[in-house]
Amino acid sequence: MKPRYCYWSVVDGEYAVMAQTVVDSARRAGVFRHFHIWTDRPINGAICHEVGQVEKWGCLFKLTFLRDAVRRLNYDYFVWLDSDTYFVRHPGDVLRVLQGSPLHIALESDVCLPQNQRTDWWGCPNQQFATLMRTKGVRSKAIFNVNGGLFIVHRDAVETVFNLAYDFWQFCRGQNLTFNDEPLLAYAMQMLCGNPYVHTVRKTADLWASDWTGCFRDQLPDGQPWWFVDYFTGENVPVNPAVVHVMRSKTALLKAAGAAAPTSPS
Amino acid sequence: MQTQVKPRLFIFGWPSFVGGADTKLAHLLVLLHEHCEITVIPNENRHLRNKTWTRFLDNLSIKYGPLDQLPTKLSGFALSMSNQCFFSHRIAHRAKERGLTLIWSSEMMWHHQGELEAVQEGLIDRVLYTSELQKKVLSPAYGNLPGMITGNYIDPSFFPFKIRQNEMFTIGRLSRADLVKYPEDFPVFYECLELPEVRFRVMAWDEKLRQKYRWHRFDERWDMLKAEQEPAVEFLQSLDLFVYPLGHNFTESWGRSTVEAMLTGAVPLVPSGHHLENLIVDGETGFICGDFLDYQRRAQELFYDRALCNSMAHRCRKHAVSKLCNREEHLKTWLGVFQ
Repeated sequence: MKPRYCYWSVVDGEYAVMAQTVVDSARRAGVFRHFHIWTDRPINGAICHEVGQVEKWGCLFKLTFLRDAVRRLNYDYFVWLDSDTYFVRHPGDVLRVLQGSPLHIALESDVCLPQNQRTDWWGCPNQQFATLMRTKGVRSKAIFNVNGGLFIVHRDAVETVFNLAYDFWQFCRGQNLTFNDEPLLAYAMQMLCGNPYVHTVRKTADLWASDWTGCFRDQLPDGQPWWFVDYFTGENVPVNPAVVHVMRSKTALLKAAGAAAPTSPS
Repeated sequence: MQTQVKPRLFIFGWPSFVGGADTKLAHLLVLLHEHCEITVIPNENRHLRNKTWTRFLDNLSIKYGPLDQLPTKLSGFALSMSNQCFFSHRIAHRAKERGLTLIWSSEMMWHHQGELEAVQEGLIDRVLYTSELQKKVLSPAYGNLPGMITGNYIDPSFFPFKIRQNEMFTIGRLSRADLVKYPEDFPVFYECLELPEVRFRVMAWDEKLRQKYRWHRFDERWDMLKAEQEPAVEFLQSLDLFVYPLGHNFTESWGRSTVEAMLTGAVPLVPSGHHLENLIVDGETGFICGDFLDYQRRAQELFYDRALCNSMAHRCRKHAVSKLCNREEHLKTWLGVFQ
């Protein structure tokens, strides 16, 4: 039997408005999987759940919602989407990127490369981040960062992912580093994925990539190839994913949903 | 001509072929039985009804019985290895009261419950280590207690070499069913090695491990065996490669199953950062791997080059017999403990 999966997200305010555009773009692309969205307002085409008050610092709510609410849903896998996401075409079977792993989040850039131009990630020097990861058991030569815009987790691995993330968060906090969701997901991913090198953004960019540099600034992607920029080296990588994390197109997402632009971009 | 008096040795524990310490004891009894006057004292009397092991002891002319049937005054050495009951059941106290010199070996990378209290009370006279790595971790808490590294003796005759003629290339591992011994990504790690036409064999698998990895669909390639479902030797003889990634919160203080595998001719692929590094000549008698790609590359090399795999298997056996399981050297070390 083919495994079942759904998309999910947690939104309120303008992010709930943007989520409408996400769902609409998916439906236009022929994606008819369920979207479970914890929201403060109705979103057409999604299965909506009351969101309540959410502590937004560091996006750690992704992990707590996953553990406390999402895993109760009757699916084999859960695909998290940030609300600033846009489907340009049908992504096919998104579970293909798992390659047997219970967790997938695209591994973006190697913090250990000598040619890195950027020297830290979330305020943590690259070398220190690599040391933290290795101290906690990551064994690969490359130590990758991630973007938290999309991740896929098997329901039966939710507890493991949460526990790994929380353990790493506590460990780093003991080193005076209070991390958001991304370093925690990077750690859990590299502990769980078997072969990290098949999960890189370069290997999986047919599914998803993050336009963090704003190729589509204030516009929506149109399905044409674009340049993904390596966060540390600055290298340009041609990509054309079905699902684009349009971090710099929030205005366009709101406009597409018929709403006003956000006053404080995140 | 003066006859040398054999050391009197009271061993608190019971041999078994499950778990490193109890297996070590079984082999140690074989090594020492002609050189020491040994009495084995189990934690519980039920062990004395186990004919497999009482026959084993009878064949070695080793005495056995419950502690309370021993005289109240004894001379000689009390040895216990990784036996939690030695402290929690106050066996160490009773052995000391009888006048024995207490020798303790943790075998693990941690102290057992009650162990350091026993050290503080002055019950323990000597400690044994399996490796320098273990000594480095444990010795600070032992203070000035005399200590020796005794390693791990395996009688090679228990693990005969077998030329592999598997229909399907087989990789696997044998370890006690302990969650910490397995890496978080264990099944996907094996599958990502990308060996075509492969069989995966694991012993000892249990419900806890099944629960931990319930996110994985173990397909027809996998053969998960319970503890002792097959004799260890037959299980190891079925493997072409002994692939042994470990959990991130666990450090292998020695690596008994790896050497047992080598004796049978299974080529080990093991992680760096454990005593395993001292058991393997990297590239000659197996591979010490860091990155996942090291494991993948080595496994594929050995898969596609069976001549290399076979020659390495023979070198594994030779190295294990001559260096790691050298009977005379182990005997000398152990008799030194009872000086």
